[in-house]
Amino acid sequence: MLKDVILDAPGKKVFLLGNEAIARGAIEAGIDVFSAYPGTPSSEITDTLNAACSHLKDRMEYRMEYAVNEKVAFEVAIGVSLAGKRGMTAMKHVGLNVAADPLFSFAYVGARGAFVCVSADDPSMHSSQNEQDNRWYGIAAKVPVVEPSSVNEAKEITKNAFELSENFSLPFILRSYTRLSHSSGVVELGEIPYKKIEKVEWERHPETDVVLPAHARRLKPRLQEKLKKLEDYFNGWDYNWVDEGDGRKGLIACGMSYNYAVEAMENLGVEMPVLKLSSMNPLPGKLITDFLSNLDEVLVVEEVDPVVEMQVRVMAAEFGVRVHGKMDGYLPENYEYNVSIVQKGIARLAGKDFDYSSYLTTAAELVKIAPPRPPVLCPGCPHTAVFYAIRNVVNEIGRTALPSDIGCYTLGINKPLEGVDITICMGASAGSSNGLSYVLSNPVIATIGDSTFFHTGIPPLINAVYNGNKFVLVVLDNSTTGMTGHQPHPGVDVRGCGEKADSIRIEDVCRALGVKFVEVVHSYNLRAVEDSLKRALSHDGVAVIIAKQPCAILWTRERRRKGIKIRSLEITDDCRECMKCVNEFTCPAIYIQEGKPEIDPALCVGCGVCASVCPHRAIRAAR
Amino acid sequence: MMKVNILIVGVGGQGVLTTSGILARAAMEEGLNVVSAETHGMAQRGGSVEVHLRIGDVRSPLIPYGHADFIASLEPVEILRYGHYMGDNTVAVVNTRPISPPSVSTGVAKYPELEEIADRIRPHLGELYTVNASEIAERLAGTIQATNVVMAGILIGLGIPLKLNSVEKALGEVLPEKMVEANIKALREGFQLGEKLRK
Ligand code: SF4
Ligand code: SF4
Repeated sequence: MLKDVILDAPGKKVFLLGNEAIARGAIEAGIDVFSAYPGTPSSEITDTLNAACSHLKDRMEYRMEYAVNEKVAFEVAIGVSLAGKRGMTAMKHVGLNVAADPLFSFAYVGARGAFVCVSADDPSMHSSQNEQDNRWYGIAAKVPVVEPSSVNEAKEITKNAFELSENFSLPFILRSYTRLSHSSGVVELGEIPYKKIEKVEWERHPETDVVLPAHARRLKPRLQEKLKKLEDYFNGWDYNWVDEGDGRKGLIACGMSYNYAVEAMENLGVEMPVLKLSSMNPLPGKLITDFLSNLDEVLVVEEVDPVVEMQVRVMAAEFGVRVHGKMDGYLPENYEYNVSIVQKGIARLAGKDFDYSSYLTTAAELVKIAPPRPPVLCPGCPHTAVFYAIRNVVNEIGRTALPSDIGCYTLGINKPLEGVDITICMGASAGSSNGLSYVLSNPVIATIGDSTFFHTGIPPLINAVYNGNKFVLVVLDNSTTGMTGHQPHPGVDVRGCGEKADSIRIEDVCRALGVKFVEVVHSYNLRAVEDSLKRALSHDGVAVIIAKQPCAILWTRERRRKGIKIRSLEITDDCRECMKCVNEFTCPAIYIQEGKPEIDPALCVGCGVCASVCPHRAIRAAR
Repeated sequence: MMKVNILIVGVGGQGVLTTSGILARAAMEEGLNVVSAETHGMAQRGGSVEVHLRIGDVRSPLIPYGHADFIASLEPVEILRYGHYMGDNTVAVVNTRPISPPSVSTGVAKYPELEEIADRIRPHLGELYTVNASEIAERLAGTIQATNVVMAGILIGLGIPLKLNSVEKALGEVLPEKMVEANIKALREGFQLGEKLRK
């Protein structure tokens, strides 16, 4: 909880979410500027620093901002670091793809003030489009990667990463992942420093900070030297260690997997030596080879890709040690680990029996009779109304390509709306529409959220205007970043830390880009959306429709705060049980009781859209 | 070495995360180690939500397969999704008030009878109790939103190693002031029910 994150009580133990612990680590490190674009599972780092900043104002000042995308956030933190101050950014794993360009070059330049980038990976893809392992980025970009093993260590290592970044003049990646970011544990608080935001004089260092080829050629060997020094340091780092054990079989356990491994050994009653690693790049070579030199066999336990295993295989060749892990099937290649999965691998190494498949068989058997409960668009969600209107128009005009984007509205894929045909990454709805429009004889109606529009939706729109491509882009503008927890963006009038902002109107941006067809409609007005879509489809060129209505959750919260009574709707005796409201529209507040639709007043937010869907005028405001 | 594994499941919006937060704070208050893992993001949009809460000498935030000591399901069908955590020593409490998913109203899936749910899971568990916690919440706290607190009370009554007053204290810290009193009533009623079931 926030009050624990800002608690000024060194030595006290509190219960924090992993992401809160990372935020607290940044606070204890005396961060100067934090910039990020939200993305699960990283969002609470940003939200916590956002909520904490006004509380800490007179104690420990820092600037916090919501950036338009990860590349921008990364570059903001670069600026801060090059001025000699402490900068940080956080993003979900795929966010680092957006920021990959500055990452590779900034490694050459190196940090001056501390630079820490949190990459929150998502093994098992709980809320992501792929399972990428961002330790590869560390190797490819020559950037150090550290990976905590527990919530307390998340705080400690975050703080430590700021110091190491400055001491070694290197940017740092802190690799978190869902099971660390979204688990909670006991954290021992350290000191919150007293500090103001102090502006500094700019000192120019063009010989390092300008990566023109002659400079870059000199910088590369220097970068390699720095990494070598860091590797030596990591050999004796506090967060890499060896637990002594019996026998000539051992484990190398990375990050959170260390806990799974220790618990699994307890369960099996074995005590093998364990090398616990938290420095993923560079790997502590000497520590690892010393460990290997006492062994015949080793099992590498790490989540997602065999990043460490591959390197250990090379090191082990010299000692004739047999290496096990993902590559020889001792441990699974895909999805996140847990105690049972790791225990099976360790049991095999130890020559013991352990099988959990009976539990999985039971589970598969039981779940068969459970009706699926996938996430759905909320009651009163403006996206539902717009997708419903799109569906009506598409049913009329025939086959249409419907690319969409990353956000709550990706759930528009569900029946009966079926408004999503393609989702690749942020901004790709508009991007892929450019390509589709070249080769399809059918119309293209793309959907994108307001936050995503600012994130990466603008460049493909520029591309469409310039190249004369024809498609319809519907901006589902709910005045927030809904999926990740309602963070603001440049289209709304509030900034990080709750300050007032000058908002930027999407319609103005589109017009300025040269889009000739720009219309703003109210999302709940089905007729208006459908009419606008038809006009847009007959426009020769790219057409933008901005369907506007605040996210149902925010709208409801706002009305509550203002003391406005929320009037739910009800279904009257005029209902002829045609089921159009259920089968074609689907609001989660509408359910069926004894064959007749009913509205749950606890869920209904009173948007009234179902009333305009009903052909028999059977839905009206409840009395 | 004490180790207690509690799995709390339900539907997004039912307060599953709040429940585990309250119990975790109470455990800390009693000087116990505690680790938890929760579902975020997608699952909050009316989807299934699970929280693992582990108290005592534990490290991993996730409960090993077959090792839940207690399962509290705030919604009847939700417990069906967690068969891999059930074992011979598992004590499960299921709230009997259904929340029908859209897949049922659109006719894609069928909502099973409560008896069928109980019959299917019983062989995989140590003990199973079904209770109408939502009814207790409505009666004592005036809102179905307090279902989670009733379920927390039942868990303590059934023997999770936490004291009622440390949970009450945690409630006071986590909930808005005006809701505390009614929720404490709901918690106590749940506790008594849990104790009764245990006998
Ligand atoms: S659309 Fe109207 S008439 Fe048809 S089932 Fe729904 S409420 Fe009844
Ligand atoms: S008014 Fe109708 S569509 Fe809107 S939330 Fe209520 S039931 Fe759902």
